[in-house]
Amino acid sequence: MVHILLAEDDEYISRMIKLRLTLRGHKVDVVANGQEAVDKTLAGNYALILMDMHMPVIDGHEATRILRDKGYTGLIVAVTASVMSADSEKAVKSGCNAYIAKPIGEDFEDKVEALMNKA
Amino acid sequence: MKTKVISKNNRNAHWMVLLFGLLISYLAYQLTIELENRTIKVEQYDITDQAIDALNKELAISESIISSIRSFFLASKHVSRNEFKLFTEAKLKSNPSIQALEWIPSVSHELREDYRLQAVRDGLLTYGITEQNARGELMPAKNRAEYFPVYYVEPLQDNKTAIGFDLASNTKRLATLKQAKLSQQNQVTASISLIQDNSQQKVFLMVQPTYSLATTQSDKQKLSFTGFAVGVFKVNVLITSAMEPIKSLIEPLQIQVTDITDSQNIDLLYSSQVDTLTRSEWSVTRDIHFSNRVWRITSTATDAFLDQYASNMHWLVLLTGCVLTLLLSSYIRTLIRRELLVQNLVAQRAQELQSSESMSRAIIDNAVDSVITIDDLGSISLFSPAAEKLFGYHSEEVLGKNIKMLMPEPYQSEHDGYLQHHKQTGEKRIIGIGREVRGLRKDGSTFPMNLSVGKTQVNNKILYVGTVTDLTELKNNERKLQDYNDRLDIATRAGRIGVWDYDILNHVLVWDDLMYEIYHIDRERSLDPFDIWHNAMHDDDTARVETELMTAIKGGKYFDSEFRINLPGGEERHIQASGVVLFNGKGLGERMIGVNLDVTERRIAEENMRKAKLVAEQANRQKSTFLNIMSHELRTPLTVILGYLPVLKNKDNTLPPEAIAQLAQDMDISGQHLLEMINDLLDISKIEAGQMTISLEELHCQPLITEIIRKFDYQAQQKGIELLSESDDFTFQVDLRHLKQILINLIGNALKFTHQGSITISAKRDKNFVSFGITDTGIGIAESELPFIFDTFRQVDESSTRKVGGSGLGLAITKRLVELHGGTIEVDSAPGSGTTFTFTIKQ
Repeated sequence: MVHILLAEDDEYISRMIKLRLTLRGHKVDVVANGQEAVDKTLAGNYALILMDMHMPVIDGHEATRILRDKGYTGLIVAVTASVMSADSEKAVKSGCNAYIAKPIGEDFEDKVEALMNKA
Repeated sequence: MKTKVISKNNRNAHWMVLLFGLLISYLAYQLTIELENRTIKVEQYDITDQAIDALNKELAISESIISSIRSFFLASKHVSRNEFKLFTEAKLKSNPSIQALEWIPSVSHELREDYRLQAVRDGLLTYGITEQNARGELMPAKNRAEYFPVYYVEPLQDNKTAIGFDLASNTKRLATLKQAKLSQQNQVTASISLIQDNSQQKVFLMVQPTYSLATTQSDKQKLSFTGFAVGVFKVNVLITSAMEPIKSLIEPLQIQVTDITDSQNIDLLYSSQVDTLTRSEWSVTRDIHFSNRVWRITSTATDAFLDQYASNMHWLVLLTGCVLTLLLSSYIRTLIRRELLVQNLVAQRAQELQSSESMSRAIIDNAVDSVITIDDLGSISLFSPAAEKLFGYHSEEVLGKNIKMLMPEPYQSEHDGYLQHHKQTGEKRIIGIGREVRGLRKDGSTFPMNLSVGKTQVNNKILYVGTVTDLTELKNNERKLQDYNDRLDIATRAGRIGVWDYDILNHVLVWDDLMYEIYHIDRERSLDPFDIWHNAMHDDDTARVETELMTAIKGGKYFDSEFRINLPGGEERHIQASGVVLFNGKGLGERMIGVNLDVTERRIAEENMRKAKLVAEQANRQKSTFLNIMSHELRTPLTVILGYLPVLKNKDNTLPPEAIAQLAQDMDISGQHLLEMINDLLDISKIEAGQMTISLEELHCQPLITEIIRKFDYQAQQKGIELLSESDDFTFQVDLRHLKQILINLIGNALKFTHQGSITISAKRDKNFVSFGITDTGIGIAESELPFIFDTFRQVDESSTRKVGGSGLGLAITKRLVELHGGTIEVDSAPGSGTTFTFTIKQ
């Protein structure tokens, strides 16, 4: 069982992603904003943080930066609906190891696992 | 011209004046001395006269004494020796000059003894008649017929030796006695030395005959001669005592008395001031005649006397004379010098005039301008070399001919008339001023020239002097310059360029007409251009432009600026100004020439372009942002739908039916949301593309609002929020579908953000507008967000799109729809205080 933290403000999307990853046997915790993501990440021991970039309170970029600033070295993958490549680059710059575009495809789970294995 | 020349004599007049003056001064000096001397002389005469008077008086006294003795004897029959003594005593006492008073009787030889006896009886025991021998010793007198012995003598004491001395024994004395007896007058002897006096002092005898009155037989009385009364006077004492009363007067004089009766034997009787130096030239002599004698009194002045009457008047006269002479002389000298100066000037002028004449000739010969003179008939009298060159004639060809030959028509024909007119009326059309005319050359060609004519009179003949300047070159240059100016003028006018010229040193600015046009100032009634410029300049630009101008003047050379001005009407114009500074030799900017160009239209166009570009850029950015957001917003529900699909497609999924139902509902909601957004986007696109059409219809307000409220009743009841209507009842024109969309949007929004309280919908009709208000008691909107709430995809809380629903396009569509109806929409809100949207629909 691998622990995954999903930071996603849209309840419909987070429900959908959690269902899909759960069906593959992953344990998924869900938070709805950046601040919760930071707190939860530092408190738990997650193999992967799936970070939506567009969130209230503090967004994914900011949360990632904070985590990295605090010395967090774990795997953070941005999940973004933006079509702009600039946003994806921005995510990497903020400290994300990789990014996955929304809408997520059928191979979403494979991608996630591949990233975790690589790490 | 006649020149007055000062002769050599005149030139030395001051010397003559000096000489004459000094001479006259000297003469006056001499005259003064003469007058002074005369005064002294008169004084001297006066004193001398007084001395004579005194002497005369003394002599008269002496004579009167002798006369009294004579009278005494005449009055008595016999005078005894004692009587004589008594009679003479007082006289002797009061006259110290008397040595002796004597009575000398006439004694015949027969009576010689009687007289001796009588004398003995009188007490003179040794009396005898005596005489002096050759050695001067006294001895008894020789017998002679008549003796004149000294018989009575007083004072006896001093004159004892004289007693008995016979005066007849002495020739001189006898002569005097005889003369006295003969003349019966007083007689005086020359000075003699007395026998009884050893001092040898000079004395003289004064003698008068004595008579006794004898009665004859016929009882007639008869005077009979008895002898002589004699006085012996000491000359020196007599004169001294005579002078005594005027002693102080005569003191500074030397008074000498000489007996000049016998010219052979002049005898000095008396002299005062023997030891004092006298001035022989200052001698005055007077003669005194008394009895038989002539005495001469000589008074000679001493320095003391002269000093007493000395006066410095003569020196004063001399000095005054000399000074006046010198003054007069130097004054005349000055006059002469001045006149000489004038003469020199006159001579110099004459010289100058002469050289000026030859110079004039040289000038005329060498002048670039032609000089032609004519007489009052128009005949040429002088034709300068320059004129020869200019007109192509030799002077022999034109001299004496009429000036008209040098004039083309119409000047030729007009000339006589003009000359005639001038002579008759004196009116001057050319004289004194220059005039541009044309000249006619020998070869028949004409040329432009400037003719200036001066009128003068030489030897009573009128002479017109014409100076001709060839203007051919000038005219050509003028034309070229004019062409150039015209071109420049047309060019600047075509370009609407105003030209200015600034004299920096004198601070004078000159504008051309176009400058005034640019500044909309009437040139005729205008101020100094500098003031116009300053007044017109926009306040915000003044300091900057002045700095730029100063920088250019101080060495920047180029002035390039742009500023705003306000035209008199207040309109703002943009002026582009350029200028070039012209520097003098010292590197000082002295002149500046430049242009002004009204670039307002260009500036406005540029500004518009800039704004358009900004708008376009902003629109582009908005479009990108819009697309980005829209993409994100569309992807979100799509992500949900597409994300569940692999789960559903998996035939092996083990999900319970409840989970599938939940999943399907999520997909449904996402699908609906997607559809809503697509509809809104279509509306936006339509409105922005201008494809949204309006179909107006007449509506009643209240039923419409009631219908809309009913739509939200369920939702409101669920949230516990009250929906209120405060609408008047009126009809108005509107597109029902659009109005419904607007109201549903705004009331929907209000419901979303209001969690308790109420939402009030109001409507009222103005003249031209219908206005609606939707007021809620919701969470409100932050002030910083208010400006953006009508933008697309803008919500106060970006994350809440899904939570509260809505596409994020509602307010943007609402605003566009209101504007489509000619209305406006406004929002009034504060966090926690609710929100009011107000919009109008134009009627």
